Amino acid sequence: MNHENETFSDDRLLAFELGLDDDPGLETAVSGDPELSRRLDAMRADVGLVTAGLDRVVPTPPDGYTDLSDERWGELRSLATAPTPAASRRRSAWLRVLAPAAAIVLVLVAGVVGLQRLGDGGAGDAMTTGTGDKAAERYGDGATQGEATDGGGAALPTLGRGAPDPAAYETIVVARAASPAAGRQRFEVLRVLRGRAGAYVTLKVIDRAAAPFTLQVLYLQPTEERTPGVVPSPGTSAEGAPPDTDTIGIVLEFLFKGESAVAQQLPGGTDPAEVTLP
Amino acid sequence: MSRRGEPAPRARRPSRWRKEIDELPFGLVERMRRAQPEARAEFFRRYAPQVRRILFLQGLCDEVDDAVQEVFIKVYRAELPAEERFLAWFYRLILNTGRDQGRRRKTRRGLVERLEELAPAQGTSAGIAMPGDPALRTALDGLAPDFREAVALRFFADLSLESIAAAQDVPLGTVKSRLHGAMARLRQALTDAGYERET
Repeated sequence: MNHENETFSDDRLLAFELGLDDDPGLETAVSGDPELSRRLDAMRADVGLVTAGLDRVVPTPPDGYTDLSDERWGELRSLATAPTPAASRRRSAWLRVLAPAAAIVLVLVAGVVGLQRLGDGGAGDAMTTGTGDKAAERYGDGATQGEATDGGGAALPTLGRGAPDPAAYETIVVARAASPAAGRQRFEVLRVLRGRAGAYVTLKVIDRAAAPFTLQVLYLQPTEERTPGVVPSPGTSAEGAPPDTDTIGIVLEFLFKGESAVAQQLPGGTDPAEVTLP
Repeated sequence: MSRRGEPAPRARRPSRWRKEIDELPFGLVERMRRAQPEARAEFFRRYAPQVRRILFLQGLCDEVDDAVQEVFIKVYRAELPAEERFLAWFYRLILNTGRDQGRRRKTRRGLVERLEELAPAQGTSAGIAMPGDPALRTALDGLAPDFREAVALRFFADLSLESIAAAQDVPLGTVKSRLHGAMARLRQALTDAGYERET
């Protein structure tokens, strides 16, 4: 395969065949030089041999390689597949229709109950106050239950006073809580809403850990020194506790790299892909 | 076609990426930016095979599928660049992931051994094994990593020279030199093995 002359070396023919250089001189010369034309054909065949050889020795993956249900893509699956996209869309559509109606019904029921209790002469004051506190604890002042539990919605639950201010954090992610251990809790990052984050974030628990396996929005790296308006939850530590729907919307305080960090629980069934910053 | 009053993206595409970007389904990057699972799955199906081959030629073996997975997780979690810069960013991400994984990989088997492991599949999806293949494997193993990357991007990803230069972050002349050097070595390996073309 080694044929060279001073003008048209094998290197020059190879560069031409690989498309590395336009070579008008070579193209012109080939038309009037049968020997050069033969050498160029031979070089083309050599390049073809090498590229075919590359295809053989580094073959394409087998059929089914890109099947995301395959075990090897376990980590990718949650990011690249919707649980049931069609069902999710249908659910979202139904929620859009039903959520306002449900809110109206709730307001009416609350009004009727309130009127009944007023009629009872204040006998239900303690219970009413308790319920109000519970609502404030779960959703923050000024929030509605409909906002907080609408898992199909595209925005974060609105928590009102005491909720993290997204503008005050450089990094915000949607993450799944793992079981806490040794005063720390690891979260698997499912989606980065702002800033940059690795696959996992480990936070130091201050008062209470997030319930394992729950979806949380983590607010990390405050842009300025501040104490987030945390709504501390009474009761015992959630370490090892099962997911608790009563904790939806609760804001928990952690430490991340020595700085204050906040976790806000999302309703179960929330699709991380649909969570957006308000 | 314009989106939200913006000029049509295709009209703004630089020519050097035209071929590759035109092979991206229109709007796919934008849909991925919105974290649409179907878009992510489509992107994975389209690019995972060539990502695997590039990573393999970079030197990964047992961990190659983990590296493929890592590449796509990084894509899904990243703030994606604009469409016209996306592929340069993507191929640079592949190369960097392969280099990082290569540095911390546990097994240190040679490329020849790993390529030979793939040989049983040659009778099905990659054609019939040829007498010159062992020489080609040895020659590939002897190439510098940068040269192998250029070969992988050129022949597995079918990238233009300019796109390879952008992905490897080197001047165009360097890419030409690498490709020329690599192909000359591979061709010479076949010659030395007495493997003659059919002419």
